Amino acid sequence: MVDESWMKTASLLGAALSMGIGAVGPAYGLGYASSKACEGVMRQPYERNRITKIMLIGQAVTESPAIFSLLISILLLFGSIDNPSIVGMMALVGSGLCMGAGALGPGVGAGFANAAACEGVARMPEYETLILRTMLIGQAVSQSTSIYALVIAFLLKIV
Amino acid sequence: MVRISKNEKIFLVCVLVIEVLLSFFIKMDMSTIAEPRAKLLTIFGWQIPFNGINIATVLNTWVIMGFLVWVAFVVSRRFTPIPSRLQSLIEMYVQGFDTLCREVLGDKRGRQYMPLVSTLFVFVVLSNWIGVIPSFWRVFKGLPHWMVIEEPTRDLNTTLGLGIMCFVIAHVSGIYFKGFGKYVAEFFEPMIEIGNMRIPNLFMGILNIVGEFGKTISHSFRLFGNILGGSIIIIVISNLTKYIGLPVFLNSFFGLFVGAIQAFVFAMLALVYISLMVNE
Amino acid sequence: MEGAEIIKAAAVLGAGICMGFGAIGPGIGEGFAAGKACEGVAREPENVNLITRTMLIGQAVSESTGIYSLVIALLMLFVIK
Repeated sequence: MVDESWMKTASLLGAALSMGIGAVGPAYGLGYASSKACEGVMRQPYERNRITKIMLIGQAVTESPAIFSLLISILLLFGSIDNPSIVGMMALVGSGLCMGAGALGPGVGAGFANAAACEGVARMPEYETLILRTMLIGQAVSQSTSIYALVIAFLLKIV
Repeated sequence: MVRISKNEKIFLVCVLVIEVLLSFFIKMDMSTIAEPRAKLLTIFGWQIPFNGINIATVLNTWVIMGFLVWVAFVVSRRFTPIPSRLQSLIEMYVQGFDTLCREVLGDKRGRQYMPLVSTLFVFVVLSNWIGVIPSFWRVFKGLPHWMVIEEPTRDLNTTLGLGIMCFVIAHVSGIYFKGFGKYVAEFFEPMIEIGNMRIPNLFMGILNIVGEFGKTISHSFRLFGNILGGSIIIIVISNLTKYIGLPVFLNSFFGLFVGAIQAFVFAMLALVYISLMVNE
Repeated sequence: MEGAEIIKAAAVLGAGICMGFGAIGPGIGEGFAAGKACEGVAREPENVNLITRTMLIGQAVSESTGIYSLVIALLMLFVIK
């Protein structure tokens, strides 16, 4: 019943789920951070360079769940398919769903941290390095659940 | 506004021209990006355990290590009161990490752990940046598959090795500074108090122990996923635009910017994990 | 089609759903903690180490639900035959 074309269908569905759902959270987080950065620049126009810098650094970390989604999506699109079975089909769909939904929350959360850091720099620009350090640690820890999702997605794709 | 000098303009134009010229020769096969790399399975007939060694990773790691040792050797032989460019760069770098470690760990222990954290950072950042160099000799067909410059950190073995190293260092220094009893007792916090008795909370203990392994996994997979994802994005988008112009900016964002930030996050997390174990 | 194969297929799909949706909540929650810590550092920069440690402990606790999903997903992957 299950042949190569069904496996290909499942991997395409998984790739679409992974990137489609996974883009929602990081996009929301990135937009929220940049809106707070705009507010900060509006309040303190002379500190625009520092605010922009911390916004960009935070956004580079915020979008890493989206990069994980893209990674799984491309692995599903171009990866090799072996021994067709219903278990393999479900594993491909599950891999995409896992990474897609797993990128949703951490993206939003890391965006919150980035936004608060932008506000903080707008309020106290001289403590930029301390705020940057706290933001990076907090974002890194809040992303660990998306990394667990990445691990499970890899296991599902390989095993 | 950033000012660009004349030399830098010439350099940028040269990079663009070389990029466009190379684009006519290098054609990456899209279907092979998800495949595993070439592996060394046996040495002199002896089977290597754990599915062989990734040769490209090992060679690139050695190149980076050799470069670091060479720079350290050159700079430390010629200390001058009026620093040269390289020396002042290294002094800035060492001083920055010295302040950082002493702020987190305190004056004495910060000095003890500074070499570890700064070496982690510089190794990881060079590992992330080495992928920016194009392996232009790939235009000749028929070369072995492992003769390629790629980031050692896009191989899980490198990052997981570094993560396990940080895990072992943090826990051994925790035992060393706190004593074994207090180290074990801390896993079972908060204790259940019945009258005067303090019973270890077994549920929190299991949770904390799983959490410790989770820390190591997330520490190493974060670097791995970001670098592998970035390099795959560069390949796919460059292929879509036929390698004209855009790869320079993709490389500067995903290679240089994200690489530097992820390396800093990696070193900071190692420092924070050590400080959680060491501090009271 | 055999029953065991269908059970394995359901377990594999379930592992994906479990870890995926289990990661949403902890991610948002830990992000809140990190954001509030950033605000705290901007307000009282001299207490940065205390704030960071409190943030890390809070995040470790709120990550426990994510770890539950990880454990369940691994169980579904490797224990159910």
